[in-house]
Amino acid sequence: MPLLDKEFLQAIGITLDEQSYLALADHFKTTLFQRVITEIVDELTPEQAAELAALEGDDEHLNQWLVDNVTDLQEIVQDEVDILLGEISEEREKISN
Amino acid sequence: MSEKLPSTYVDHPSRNDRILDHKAILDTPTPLDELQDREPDDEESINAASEFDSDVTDMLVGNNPNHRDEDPKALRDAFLAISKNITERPDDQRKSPAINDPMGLDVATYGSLVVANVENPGDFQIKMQEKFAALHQETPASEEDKKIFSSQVADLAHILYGKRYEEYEQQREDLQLNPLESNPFDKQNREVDKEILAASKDVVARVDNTARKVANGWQTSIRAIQNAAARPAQAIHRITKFVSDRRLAGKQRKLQKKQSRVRSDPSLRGIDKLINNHRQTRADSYKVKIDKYKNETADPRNTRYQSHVNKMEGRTRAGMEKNLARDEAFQERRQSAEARKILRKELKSGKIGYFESKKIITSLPAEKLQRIGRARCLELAAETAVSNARAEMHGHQRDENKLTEQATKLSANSQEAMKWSREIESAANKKKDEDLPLVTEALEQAGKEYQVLVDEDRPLWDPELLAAKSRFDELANEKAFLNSAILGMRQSQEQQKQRAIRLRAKAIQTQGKIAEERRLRIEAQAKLDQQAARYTTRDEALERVIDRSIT
Repeated sequence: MPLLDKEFLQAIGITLDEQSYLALADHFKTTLFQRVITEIVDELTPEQAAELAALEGDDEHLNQWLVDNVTDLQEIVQDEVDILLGEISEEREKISN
Repeated sequence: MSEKLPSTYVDHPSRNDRILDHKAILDTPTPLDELQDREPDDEESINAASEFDSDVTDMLVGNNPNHRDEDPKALRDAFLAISKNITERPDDQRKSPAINDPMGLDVATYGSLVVANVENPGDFQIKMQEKFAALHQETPASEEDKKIFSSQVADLAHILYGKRYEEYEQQREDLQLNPLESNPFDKQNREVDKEILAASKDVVARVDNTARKVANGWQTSIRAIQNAAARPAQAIHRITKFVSDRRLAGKQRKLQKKQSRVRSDPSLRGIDKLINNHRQTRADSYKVKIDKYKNETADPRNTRYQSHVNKMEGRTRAGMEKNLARDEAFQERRQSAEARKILRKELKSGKIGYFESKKIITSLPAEKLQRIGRARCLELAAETAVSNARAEMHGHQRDENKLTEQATKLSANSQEAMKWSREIESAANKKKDEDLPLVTEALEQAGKEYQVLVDEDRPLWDPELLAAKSRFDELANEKAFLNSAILGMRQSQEQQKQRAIRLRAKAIQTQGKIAEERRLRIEAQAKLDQQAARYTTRDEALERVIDRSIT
């Protein structure tokens, strides 16, 4: 199920056909993910960045490492969603067109 | 940028006085000129040099008290370097400076005026660059010359603006530097980190779940907003109904009072019946009138239409109110998020721990968060504008470089074609002047020999006659071939010449395009500087807001 559903978009004044809706939902998800990652990486100290880089290929410990080192992950995601949805709402006329 | 100084500068009396002063200074043989032939320790020379320093300082700095403390020797050196470069005067003509500004000013004077009137060192440099570009419009300066000039102007700006220039340069550097680029290993690690995080399914799922919860929260918010938007209409309806009910009740009370007064009056016994009769008569006549009016004027379709219009208007108004409320709520939410984001970073950079940061952020009143968020949004917008302006400037720079390359190629090809044309012409002339006379002479000789044999009545099969004829024909063919070759070479030469002319014309046309691109680039640079200055202002404003809010 996509993060953005059609009803939600209609509620914020965006009406799209199926294809455009899917494209927007996909773009939303990708952008959000990129921003969250950038934000996480920007917040790391150089030592943490090096530590994480060393975890390449060790998917098992990655999640635990994130929990231990990025304590504000929840807030980061929440803020990025708020910002992105705010931007979508601001640009809704362009998106609808 | 092609724009001139504002006309108010031209008409300003004190400025005109300064222009005259500057010209007078430039027209007067400088003590430096006289000093060149003297011993350095000559007392008169030292005095003259000192006076000259003072003149140059006056000229460049004018009456601006902010610039009075500058080093006169450094000013003099920078001024002389720029003046020599920009006015393109040979040293021996320094006493009569070239007047090559459309306003009738030489560049040094122009520069001094710009310094006196321009607050921003960046603007000063741009104006000097424009001047330089205008002077080299016909014969573009080489890249090396441009670099030298830019460096000289930067030196002059540094001397004249002092600390302000350093701050300006620092800002420019700050804007151009990506903090991640400071350490290549760190940058590399961060790129690797991004890839690792993006490739991990667990991380994707975690972000996705959290985002989904937040998005659900948004749905709830939207419903709340919609309800909130509907509430005012209900409240207004209730108030209006209450007021109208109260009025109606008041009127009924008044009427009942009147009726009871009338009923209690003994002189008006039986009046109720009279009143009722009268009322009935009036009601009947009124009903007749109304029915007639309805039949005549009431149009059911119009009524329906009007009702529909009213409904739509109401709906649109309600929709607009709802949208407005929703947009405001969205923006508030976004601003709060931006505020939290920047605060988290600021607090983290101040070595404040997670829990303490969270406590500080959550303890901030919504109003303060909004204020920080608004400042951050403005800063982000300015940052985007800087980035766009930079991209625009680089675009013009790329176009300019491309066009310059094209013009160079066209010019080289034109010269090559012209060279070919000359070489072909030379070869054709050689054939015409050297080879053709030899063949012609030989042909004439062969003709004569053949004629002698013909005159001797030699039989047609005579071997000598046949040989003479064969030689004559051969030489005639050779002459015809030579003439044809010369003609071909002339045509080829003409073609090469025309090609050279066409290429040259194209090169000139491209030069025009280059000048236009250069103008656009300078404009874009000015825009970039403006946007950079705006960004700095907004960045500072954000810092102030954060400082005030946290403390």
